[in-house]
Amino acid sequence: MARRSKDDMWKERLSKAFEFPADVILDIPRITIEGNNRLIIENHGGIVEYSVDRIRVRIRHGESLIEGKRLIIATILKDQVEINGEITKVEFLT
Amino acid sequence: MPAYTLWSYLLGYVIIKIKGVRVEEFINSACSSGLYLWDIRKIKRGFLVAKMRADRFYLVRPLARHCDCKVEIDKKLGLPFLLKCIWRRKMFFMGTLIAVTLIYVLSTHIWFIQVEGIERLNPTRIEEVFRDYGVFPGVPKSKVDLRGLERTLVKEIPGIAWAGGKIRGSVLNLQIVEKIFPEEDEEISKELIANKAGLIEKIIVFSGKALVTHGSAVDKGEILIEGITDEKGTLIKPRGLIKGRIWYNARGAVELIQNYRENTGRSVRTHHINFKEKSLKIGRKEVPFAEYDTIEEKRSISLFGITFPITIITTTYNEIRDRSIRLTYEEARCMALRKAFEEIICNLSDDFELVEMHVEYQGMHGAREVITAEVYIETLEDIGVYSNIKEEVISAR
Repeated sequence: MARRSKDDMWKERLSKAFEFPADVILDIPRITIEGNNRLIIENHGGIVEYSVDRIRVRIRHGESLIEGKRLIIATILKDQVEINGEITKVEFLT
Repeated sequence: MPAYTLWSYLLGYVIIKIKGVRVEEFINSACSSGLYLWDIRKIKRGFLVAKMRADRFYLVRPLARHCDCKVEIDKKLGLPFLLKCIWRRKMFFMGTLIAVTLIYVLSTHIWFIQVEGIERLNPTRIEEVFRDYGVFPGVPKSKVDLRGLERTLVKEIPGIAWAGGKIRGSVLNLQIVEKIFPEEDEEISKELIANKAGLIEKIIVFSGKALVTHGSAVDKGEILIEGITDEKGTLIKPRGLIKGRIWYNARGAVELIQNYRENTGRSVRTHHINFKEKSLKIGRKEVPFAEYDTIEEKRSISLFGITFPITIITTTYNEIRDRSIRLTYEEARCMALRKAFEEIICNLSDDFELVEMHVEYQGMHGAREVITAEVYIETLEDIGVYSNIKEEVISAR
């Protein structure tokens, strides 16, 4: 999250001041990993690349790269994507 | 999302194949336009498989066209499609349903009736009772009163002592116990006679006329109770219990010096060859024993299935010698007593009652010392037998 607009700076300050969760105020993704076989990204921006061992998901200010084996997209909704499979790596690309 | 999965099962869902270069874009645009996809799997490059609700499939075509993808339905799953499938094969399912119903309906009826335990009774009479009571193959189980049937059977047929019914599936199993009537003697004996000589100790007459009294001595074969004829002229079988006091005595004698023969273990073997009644001795062995047993063994010579008229006789001579041992007095007494008892036991009846027993030992000295045991036994026995079975009873004892 390198490039930040002035607007975002204000939002961040606000969330810190009032102790709001950042993903509510800002459009920051919330990533939940259950063990190594279930991963849920909330506030995603769509799938960029999908293959059996590699999924790239667009998030605010960049992409998240999930690597693993036999990956499937279990569900995909407007604000949530659930990935199942043997996850080996989660990476943030900017 | 199990709830959603269940919902989609109820509404029906499809597995779709998505082919194209920009499949990721198809996923994104589907989800942004509110089309819910799940279980998305990549099969190979540019080929995805996903599940979606069947009633939203009309949304897919424009999206696919927009992303240059080809979408086709692979499988239709869920309840609506299942129902459609059932409807298409309705006759099959109807048949199954009819069969199940039929089995159920048939299982509530009795189709087989088994009657066990009949030996002397007439089975058709029992069948009649069944039919009169309303029990026949094909009657519903609910209409069968087993306890009532049992009671009726026992009441209607005098030969039945007990009847117990059981329903197992469509089989009615009835166990019958027949009454056992006392066996009637075909030949009525005229009299009850004594099978042994003795003194009458006890006399109980059930029917007939007693010819002996308590204390009278009877001989073997003497009439004890005589049958009587009643007013109608029929002979009433004599019946009664007669106990007699019977004495036995037997003597057993045992010599103190017991002689027996013993193998010494030495033996000699000779061989002969027999050919057409001619005998040829092999070797020149003589038997060197004074007393011996001989054992002969014959063997025929056969070769390739052909038997030659030659036999080889092997004779074994085993030397024996006489030995004698002297018994102790105790041993001799025991043996003598056993001898005497064995003699008496053969003559006793099965249900004897021992009254008194007396044993006397005697030693005799002479050329040979002999111990004798004399046993006196007094018993109470049932001595009455029917005269018509006299022969076999007496011969058996």
